[in-house]
Amino acid sequence: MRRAVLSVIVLAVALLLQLTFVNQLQLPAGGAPDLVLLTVIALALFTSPATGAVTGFGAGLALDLAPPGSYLIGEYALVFCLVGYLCGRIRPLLGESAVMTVAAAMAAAAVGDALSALIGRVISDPDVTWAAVRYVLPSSIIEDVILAPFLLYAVMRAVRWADGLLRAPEDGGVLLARARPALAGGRPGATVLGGAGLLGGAGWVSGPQRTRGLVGSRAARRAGAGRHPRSPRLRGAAARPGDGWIGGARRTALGHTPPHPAYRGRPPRLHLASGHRSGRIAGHPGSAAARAARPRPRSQPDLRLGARRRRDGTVGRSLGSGPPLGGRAGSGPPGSAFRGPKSGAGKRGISGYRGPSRDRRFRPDRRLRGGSATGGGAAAWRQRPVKRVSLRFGSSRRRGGVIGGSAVRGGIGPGTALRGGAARPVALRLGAPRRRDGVLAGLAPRRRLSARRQAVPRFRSGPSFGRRVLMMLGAPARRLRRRRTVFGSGRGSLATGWSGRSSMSRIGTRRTGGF
Amino acid sequence: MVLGALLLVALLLITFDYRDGSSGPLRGLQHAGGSVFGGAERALSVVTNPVVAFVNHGTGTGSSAQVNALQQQVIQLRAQLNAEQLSKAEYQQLSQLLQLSGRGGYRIVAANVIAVGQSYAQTVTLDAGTTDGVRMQDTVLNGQGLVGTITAVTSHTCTVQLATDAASVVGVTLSPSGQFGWVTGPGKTASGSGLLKLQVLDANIVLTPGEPLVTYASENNRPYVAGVPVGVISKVVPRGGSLTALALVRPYVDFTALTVVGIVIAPPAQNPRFSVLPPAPKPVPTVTVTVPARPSATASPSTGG
Repeated sequence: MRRAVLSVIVLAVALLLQLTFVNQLQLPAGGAPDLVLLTVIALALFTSPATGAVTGFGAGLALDLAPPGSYLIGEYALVFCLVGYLCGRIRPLLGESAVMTVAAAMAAAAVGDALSALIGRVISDPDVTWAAVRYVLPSSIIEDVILAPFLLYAVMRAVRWADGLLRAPEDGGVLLARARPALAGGRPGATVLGGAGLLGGAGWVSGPQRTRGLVGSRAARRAGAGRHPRSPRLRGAAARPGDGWIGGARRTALGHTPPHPAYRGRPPRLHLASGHRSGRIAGHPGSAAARAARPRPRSQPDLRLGARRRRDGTVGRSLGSGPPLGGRAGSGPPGSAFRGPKSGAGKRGISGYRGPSRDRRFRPDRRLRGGSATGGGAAAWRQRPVKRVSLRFGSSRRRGGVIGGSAVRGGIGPGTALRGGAARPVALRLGAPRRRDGVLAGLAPRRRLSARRQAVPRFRSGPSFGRRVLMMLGAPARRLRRRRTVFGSGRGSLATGWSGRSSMSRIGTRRTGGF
Repeated sequence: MVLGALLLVALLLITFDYRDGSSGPLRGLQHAGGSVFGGAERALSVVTNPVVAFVNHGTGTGSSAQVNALQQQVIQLRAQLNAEQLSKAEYQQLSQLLQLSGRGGYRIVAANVIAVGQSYAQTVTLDAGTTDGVRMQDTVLNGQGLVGTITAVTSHTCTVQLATDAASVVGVTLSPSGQFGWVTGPGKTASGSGLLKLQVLDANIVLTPGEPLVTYASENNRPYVAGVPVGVISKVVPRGGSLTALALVRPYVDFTALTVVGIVIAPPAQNPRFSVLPPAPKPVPTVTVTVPARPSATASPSTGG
């Protein structure tokens, strides 16, 4: 809603400036930059195709109607509608890359100019002669392409500013916590969280320490944004439930289910079934977390089995540092604790990680604590026993694995997870995680690994047709794959091979009969 | 889905607009849009026009000599106009406008350009509307000559189709011969650089560069009143077998720097014929004075006499 209002305002300003100012300037070449087109592009690059199309249509129609108007009403509505739609369409392909986004805006500007000339020809606008096109089109394309990044930035700032207004005096986290269920599920909530979601991703990447700071305040967001090329982008994705997690990790309120009092303050959990949604988030760790936790009882038993064992061995060694108390936000998926590889990971972690993040990974199982965790850590864990349990479970675990990977990189392959300490812990014990665990332990985290891992797509329902097509096209393959979260059934083999897992690791996988 | 629906709507709009012509529901829509956006443009132009004038400074027309010559009239105009709101350039344009309309006997409403059409369009929006007596197909001119004709009007704004618009056709009369012809706009092209295209019906006429053109009275003086200067022939195009004589016309008006224009709300009582045309530039003999240097004189100027 807020975005819609902002879009209208921004477009109106662009339209009036275009007609009263820009078009009057005597620029060296025949053309003049088209602010309205550029604004439509900038707005559409942050929304869905449908919204982009509506935005473009509205802006074009306004341009048609505003005096002096176009040759035929509907001319610009048609062109801008198409451009807006295309921008929304290619948005997912751009990923977090600011460069790609800017390039897309430039390309869209050129396409928009060419399209309007083409439409002019098609409806035989007397002014659009080939001579005129030859004279005007090149210069207007050049001017639009040059202006596109600036307008993109301006619009982005405007959107962020507007989103910030909603946040008002409160922290994002607080806001989220108070958000009503309806809000959380609906668009408004999404809008509000837009920025937070991005940050969320960034925060996750940066590690638990950061995460705490990131609890949704603007400053925190910025900090997160700094590291992440992606952060500046306003994404539809931000709105997703995941935001809640990162922004205010403690409060899971954003999930579909209204936050149950009991759950408040818990660490983020991985989503169970809602693979699609979370998957869409493209690896935002937050997404998983956002869902309401399941009932604890169920999960616990399962988890404990596999996890403990591994952990027992692992934890003892690696945990020595002792889990920090405050770690929930950073702790991420509870599953992390279980890793077999931790010993290896721990070593790595020492050098690269921030201490706290690592610790958090380990599970708070009582048993574990008793054996391995330091006393201080144990206390912290107890408070949240429930959560951890839930992670362990089947679906969540898998997903956790996924999350772990994606989170680390900020959305790239799971392999990346290795780099950031936080990411690793994510790996779930069960099928997927194990493999990964193995990887961590034995292999240096490389990109290649991530790629392979991805190859192990355990798609829950398989990628949609469109996605598959996109994958075939090759561009965003990584991301696309990642999004589908995970049922670890089938193709674990490759990863498994890497992992050199023990028989233990097999538990829970399908091959072994699983749980 | 959404895209398809919107595209369909857009195509329907285009179709209806094309078929409706000057009536139909779309006109209402356009009128409403014109009122809303026109008002906003009027308001915004108060701010943007000085900026535009500043940015485009130096590209304006007119010489300092003309300014001096018109000083007196400018002073008179100053009494009638809101002095503070008009720039020096606007004074000049207004004075010329009044001169021209005075010579031709046109009753005009002065207006400012507040918006300019997008990309290929050759249209501008003025800040005068029906409340000022402006109606469809009124002639628009400025101090130099013909600007265009009104194609849309709302209560406070109107839209002008410039004479350079590719769809614009203006009936003209050649100054000395009285031959009839018509001038079409070039649209936005670099090659012609704003030169209008003249076609004359008389197949035997010999056009010569420098001949001025004025508008020929339209029926009921719409869309063009008679006698408004259009331009001078700058180049005669080889006929190439066509039945009409062709020439390129350089318009008097600088269409890229329109600011103050006049809308003719009452045509002259009688056809001004060629009286409104600016005096033809006469070649002025340049006097060259050569002063031989006299070293002796420079040595002792006071006593050298």
